[in-house]
Amino acid sequence: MTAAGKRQKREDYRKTHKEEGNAELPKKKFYRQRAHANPFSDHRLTYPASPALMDWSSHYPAFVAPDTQSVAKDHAGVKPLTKPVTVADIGCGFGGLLVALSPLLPDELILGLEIRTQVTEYVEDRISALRSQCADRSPRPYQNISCLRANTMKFLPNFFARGQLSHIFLCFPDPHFKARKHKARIVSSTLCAEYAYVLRPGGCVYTITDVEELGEWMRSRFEAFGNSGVGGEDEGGESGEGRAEGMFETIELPEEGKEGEWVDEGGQKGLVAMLVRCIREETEEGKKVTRNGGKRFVSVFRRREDPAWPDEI
Amino acid sequence: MPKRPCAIILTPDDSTILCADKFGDVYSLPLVGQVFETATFNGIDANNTSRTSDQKHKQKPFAPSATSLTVHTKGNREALRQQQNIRNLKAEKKVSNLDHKLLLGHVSLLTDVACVTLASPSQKPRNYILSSDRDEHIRISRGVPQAHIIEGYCLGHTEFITKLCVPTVYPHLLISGGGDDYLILWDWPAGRMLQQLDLKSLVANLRNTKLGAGKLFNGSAKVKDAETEVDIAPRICVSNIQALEIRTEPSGHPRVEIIVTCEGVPALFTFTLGMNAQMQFSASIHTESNVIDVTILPNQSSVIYSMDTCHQAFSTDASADTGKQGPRSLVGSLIYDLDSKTWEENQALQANLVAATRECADSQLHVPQAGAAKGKSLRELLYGLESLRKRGSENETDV
Repeated sequence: MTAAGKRQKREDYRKTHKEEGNAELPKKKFYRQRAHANPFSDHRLTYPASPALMDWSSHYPAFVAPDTQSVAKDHAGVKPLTKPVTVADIGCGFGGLLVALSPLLPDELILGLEIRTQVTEYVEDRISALRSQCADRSPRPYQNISCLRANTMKFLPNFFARGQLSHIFLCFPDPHFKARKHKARIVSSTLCAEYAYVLRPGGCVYTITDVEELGEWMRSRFEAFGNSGVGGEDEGGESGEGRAEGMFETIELPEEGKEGEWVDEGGQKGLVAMLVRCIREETEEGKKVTRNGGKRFVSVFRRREDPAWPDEI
Repeated sequence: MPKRPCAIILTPDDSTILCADKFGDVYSLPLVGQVFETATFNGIDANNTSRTSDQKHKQKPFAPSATSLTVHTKGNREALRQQQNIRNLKAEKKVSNLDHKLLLGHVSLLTDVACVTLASPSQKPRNYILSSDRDEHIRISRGVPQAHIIEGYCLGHTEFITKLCVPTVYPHLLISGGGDDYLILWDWPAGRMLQQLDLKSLVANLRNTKLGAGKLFNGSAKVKDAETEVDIAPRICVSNIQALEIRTEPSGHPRVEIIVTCEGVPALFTFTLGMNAQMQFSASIHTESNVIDVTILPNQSSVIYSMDTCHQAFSTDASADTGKQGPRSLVGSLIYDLDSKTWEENQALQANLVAATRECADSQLHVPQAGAAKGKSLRELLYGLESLRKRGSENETDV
């Protein structure tokens, strides 16, 4: 089929999909997009000038605060939610993790951020289909997940205020194999500063990849962050031993297949184990790795409290 | 430096250079003496680490980091097969012996950086680094050695930022400007916007009165208040913001004069910043030609500005009609008059400056306008900031 014919077919499909009350799940083949996007280019992005100006009401209609006088409307028509977004899946892809997390974290609002337009649209259609499929159940499921298009490497602080997030997921990020492209990786010494900024102390970053070298890269960046300025040069990045502790501590994780025992123990440990099992098994890439018989490299980092100012020591 | 520097400042203790670059990173370098020594930073031997990592590069032959088990597209698998055939591909690495340390980074082009000291609850001063980028962010980070901790952001610009200005007497205030139609006055430790100050109407007014009235250039600088209605004005691009402290206020509160210049605008816009953290427009000072840059002489209550004599006033591309008028001066100077509270021409300084620039100009013969290509590069040289604006044209080939 010609490229133009293909495009026409996609547009027709998506239009009818939106018209039909979209109870049917969208088909991925109409939303494919090349797997890489340049994080340094401008794109045609929409993002709020600041977190206070972000209107979440269309994303989480079930959580819009009832319209009472007590709600101060100081931010030009932005309808406030009853609670803030606390979980971010950065590079959510086709949204497998979002859908899996929705029942696991029913009390949190979860946001997927994806840089590719087509893929974002797929996740939006998928969520709205899921919502209308189970509209008669109570409480209505999938109300706590949403997705938007964003370049988080540039605009994460436009969406989230300081310490707003409890969990950040970085699942199967683009490995950018060439050394020249390492600057485009979603984890770098300098980006760790932004993850630390939006995470509350005690909040966690979950990383998973099937590329061992990238797994080590991410671990060394998070472990070194705050040990020596930003964490040494990008070439260095050896984890600091015997030095002041960094901003992130690496958490001990259950072995693959043994998460259940941890989950039964409950508490913070159980929660982490549950989420780790989720990223191992429920992400779309995670499933592909299982089919291929590949390996998964998981690390979880907990954010420490900000260190004291030099004048307070 | 690894990339082209965009802004360079000194830390308040005058010992370290902070250098912000085109790739969004801020580095620190010792100002003097330590470049060839083995400086230690936070217990890490800088040169040592680079050496060990260099050795490692030598020992380790190239190996692709992907494996056949990695999830891949068909094209990637083909590339991997080719990579695995390559034996010892080694990346040539240039190790700079300059002792620079990465402090923080934006994923954007950095445009300005400032280092500010504030009093703290413990009465010992605290240092902060303020950095602005092309993507509308102003980041507030702690000073060295905790520059990796972000204290907050000042968010409110909708276009690139070109300039940050923190007046010395009001260190908790910040004035920022760039591609937006307005300046913003911030209470930056709180990340709070205090005021937006319109520039677009000021430029439009000036343009209307100057171009509309028919008299294009009238020699010396003239003080003009904002007047008449607003017309369609070209885009605003702030090229510089300077703060001049005016000491002799009877109440004892220092007053600050803020001087703003925009690309392709023949004027200096002045504002007054009082102790109530309120900024007020005071005057548009019309100049003969487009102002390129401005600097302050704090001890003489004066400013010196440089002008573009190659282009017409209000234009960044139309060449000046050199035949029509006499030679235009390249520089100008103003002095703040404490009694009348206005800016006036600093005649003594002006005469010196004009003489100095004339000497320069005379030594080179008058260069005729050498075609469009040269005119274009000259324009890029003089008015480079406007090119930071996003064009919004993106080729999204999605299939």
